[in-house]
Amino acid sequence: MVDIGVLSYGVGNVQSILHMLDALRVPSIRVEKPEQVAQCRRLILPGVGAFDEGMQKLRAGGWEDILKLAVLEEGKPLLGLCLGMQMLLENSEEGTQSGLGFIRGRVKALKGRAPQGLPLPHMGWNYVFKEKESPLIANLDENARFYFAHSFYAEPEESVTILSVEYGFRFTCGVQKDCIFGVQFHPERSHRFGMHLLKNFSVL
Amino acid sequence: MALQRLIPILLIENGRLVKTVRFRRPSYVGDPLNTLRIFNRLEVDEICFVDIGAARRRYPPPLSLIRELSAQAFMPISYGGGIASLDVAQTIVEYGVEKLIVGTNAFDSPTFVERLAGKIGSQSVVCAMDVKRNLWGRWTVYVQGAQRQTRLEVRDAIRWVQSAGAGEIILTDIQREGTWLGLNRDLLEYVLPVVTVPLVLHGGAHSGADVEAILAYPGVSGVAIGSLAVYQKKGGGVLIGYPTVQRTMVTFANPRP
Repeated sequence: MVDIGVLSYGVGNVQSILHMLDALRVPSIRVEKPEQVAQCRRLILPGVGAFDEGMQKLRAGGWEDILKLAVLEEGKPLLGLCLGMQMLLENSEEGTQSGLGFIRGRVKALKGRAPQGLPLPHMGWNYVFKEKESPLIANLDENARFYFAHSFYAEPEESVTILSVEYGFRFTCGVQKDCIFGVQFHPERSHRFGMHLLKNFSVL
Repeated sequence: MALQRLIPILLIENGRLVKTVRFRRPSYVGDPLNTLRIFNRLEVDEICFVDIGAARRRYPPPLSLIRELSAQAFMPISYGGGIASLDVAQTIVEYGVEKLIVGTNAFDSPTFVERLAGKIGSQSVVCAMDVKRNLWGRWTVYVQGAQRQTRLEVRDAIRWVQSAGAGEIILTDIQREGTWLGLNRDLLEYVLPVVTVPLVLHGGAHSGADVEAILAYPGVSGVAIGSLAVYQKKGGGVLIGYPTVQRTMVTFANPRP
């Protein structure tokens, strides 16, 4: 068994995440096939790009059922990053595919909700607000900042929000529901703040 | 609003890290990957690699180096130099590079910025605008590592690349690059009224105080530093460093369409 498996299903910056885990000395592997999920204690679901493309790749690659089994039946910790977090929800304004549905709620566009004149996507470093205690963000620096790059945001319909961020308005950027975690930002591009979060995840 | 950024710009030539003065006389300063690891420890906001050899079209972008740099960066990364096709651009984006910087190709091929933005999204397209005053005092855009003058005046060029879909502009004062003479406030004040996308000023930074004075302008998203990031002082030895400066949330001076 390896501590963390990073799912390589066709979208997302797997190599950078593995590199940061390596710097943390967390044994981790690139998970190329759904069968390898069984060898991992915890899973990271990365993702960049469009919601439908991400979901289609998860489905076409045979990842969806294996993920559901591992997370919902076996209680294996899962961390979704960026699009990987958005796909934890039921659906998205960005597309027509259904999401994984681990968390009730919808992914919505910043456009039309953020005040006019604000550049979109939301791209750059931003501070986050702690909304609820969670082992994922335990002992996180008060001035923690993270790197964001997104046009859509998750709006959960259950009380799972652990972090929020302000860009024109306040919205969810971190969630936890049982063993399921997600963050909208990129810990692999957020220095020690990202490392802290990945380190926390590696011992869950 | 996102935070302002202080960005080391690192120049690559034939796989080695170099530093220039006014875009000339490249001096060896180290190895790109080793230097990146130091900047990881210094927790820089963002890092920018430009292959000046590729930019002058002597060779294509060094893809395997770019892939390794992207894998090892603990911060967002941008790359520029020799990005001449959408396929190469797509490959570099797939390595996880957040932003691609285009200059010569943007100005030589009038539809390139628009096509690139259509392919990878405006937020990932940065236009490098290297400028110099001509004989009549007009700020003029240069390409190919400041070797060739275009007919474009800087404000016109900014309006044009913004409408074509560039999501960010790095504005470099060629005459100050590598000189430690201080960032050019006159140039900044001249262009700010027409800027509607994130603007990063580059060229001549000599200190943290110099950088802070620029970040105090509303509408400035960041400052890029070259010599200040790789040398101990003017005329001094190589020392990788990152000044401590006060950053605030970016405020945008101009309404966006």
